[in-house]
Amino acid sequence: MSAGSAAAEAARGAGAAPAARLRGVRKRFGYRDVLRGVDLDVPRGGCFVLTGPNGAGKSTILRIIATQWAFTHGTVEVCGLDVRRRPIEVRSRIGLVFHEPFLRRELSLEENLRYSCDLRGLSWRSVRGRAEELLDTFGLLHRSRDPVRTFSQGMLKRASLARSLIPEPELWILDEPFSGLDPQGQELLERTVQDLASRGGTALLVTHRLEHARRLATRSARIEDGRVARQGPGASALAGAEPEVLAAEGPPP
Amino acid sequence: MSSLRLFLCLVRWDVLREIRRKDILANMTLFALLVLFVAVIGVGPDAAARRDVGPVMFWVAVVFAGTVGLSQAFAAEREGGALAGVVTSPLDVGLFYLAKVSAAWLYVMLMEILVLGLYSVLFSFSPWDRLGAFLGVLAVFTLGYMAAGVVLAAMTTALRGGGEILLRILLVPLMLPFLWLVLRVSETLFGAVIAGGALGGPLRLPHFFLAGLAFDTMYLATGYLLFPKVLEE
Repeated sequence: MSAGSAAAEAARGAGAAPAARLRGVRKRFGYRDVLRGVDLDVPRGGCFVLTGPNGAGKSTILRIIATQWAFTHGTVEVCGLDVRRRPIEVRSRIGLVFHEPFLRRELSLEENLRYSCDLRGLSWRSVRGRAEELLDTFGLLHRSRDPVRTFSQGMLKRASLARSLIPEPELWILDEPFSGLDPQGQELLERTVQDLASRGGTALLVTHRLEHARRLATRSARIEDGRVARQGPGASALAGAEPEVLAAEGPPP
Repeated sequence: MSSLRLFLCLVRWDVLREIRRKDILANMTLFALLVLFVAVIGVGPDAAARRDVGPVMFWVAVVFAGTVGLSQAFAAEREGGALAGVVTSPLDVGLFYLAKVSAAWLYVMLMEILVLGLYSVLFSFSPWDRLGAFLGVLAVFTLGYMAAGVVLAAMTTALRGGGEILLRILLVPLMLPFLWLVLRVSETLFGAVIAGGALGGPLRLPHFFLAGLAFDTMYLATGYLLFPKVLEE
């Protein structure tokens, strides 16, 4: 097989692979096992929702998939790419929204987006239109020249959402994206996830907000004590979680 | 985007951030100036004591002020998860390391030039006829110092409380061989006799540059390899 056809074959293989696949993933912090053998398939297309109690290991799973954290044992693939062997290629395919906005406080929002593009090797000229469109969608276009240190938590979350979508990620990873957003922002985020899924994109979402999770989930899993307790199509894995969620998180704002 | 262009972009972003904040350069310079003020008062008017103790105080001021700058630069980088944003981007983290070293080298060089100016006033010493040699020694030392310091600052600022003291505890001993060279070449530059000549005598400039560049290469190569591991978690 020639190098070109091998590459094409690999690309076809990667295209058919799930958005994320974890097998026997273990993660230890000091003496504590945070993940105790996670097996999970996040299929391409749709919104995969992860739920579970605080400290169950949901955010750890996301950070491992995002290549931010190493893991102790097992294999993790994103779009068919091994995260240990090909982390840079994995990173070019994902968009991240974590608790931290990944923004430099002293730069303006537009400068932050340009900086983010530089980190990804993207030309600002080629993505500027999309960036402005996203800023407009998230209601931040009029604040794009302001330093982000002047932004509220909700605005930082919106900025983070816009930043993560500029490179058109194949896998959009969101950790508690609804927290800090006002009701309009939450609705907007729901629409954005649904829009992404309708265009064949994949969102992997951790949330305690069951009302959003139920509307968005095309597949779901519940993580308990570092393991997948159950998973299934739609919001089936979320059943019976309400009392605990309300106790842990309180009512939505 | 070519690696060189990306590298220059990253340096530019770092410099732009410092231009906006202004605090890193200001804090470093203020710290160094305070050390020199205290030193000049302690040494008194004796010209021979100023000549021999002054260079040591200059390097003490510069080295400790450098740790202040490194800590603050990395603390700023960790605010808002900006550093996590770098780690999770498809960027060669080694390139980011080289850009951080270059930007830090620029700030610290600028601070050192300002401090050298004040030193010349406080210690009645004129470096201007040997300015090229002074700048060369500062440039070579600062490169190695930042190459080691950026790695350690990335490690220690992740600790609770910022880890500034730990940075000094780790970085200064690591730089001791280089500081020994710097003090010996200072005997040549300042015309001083440091530690009663016990360091091995004045070092000629070409010998310093040769050994200093070897140190720089060693610190840079080690830092380039270690930095991605340091940021991993």
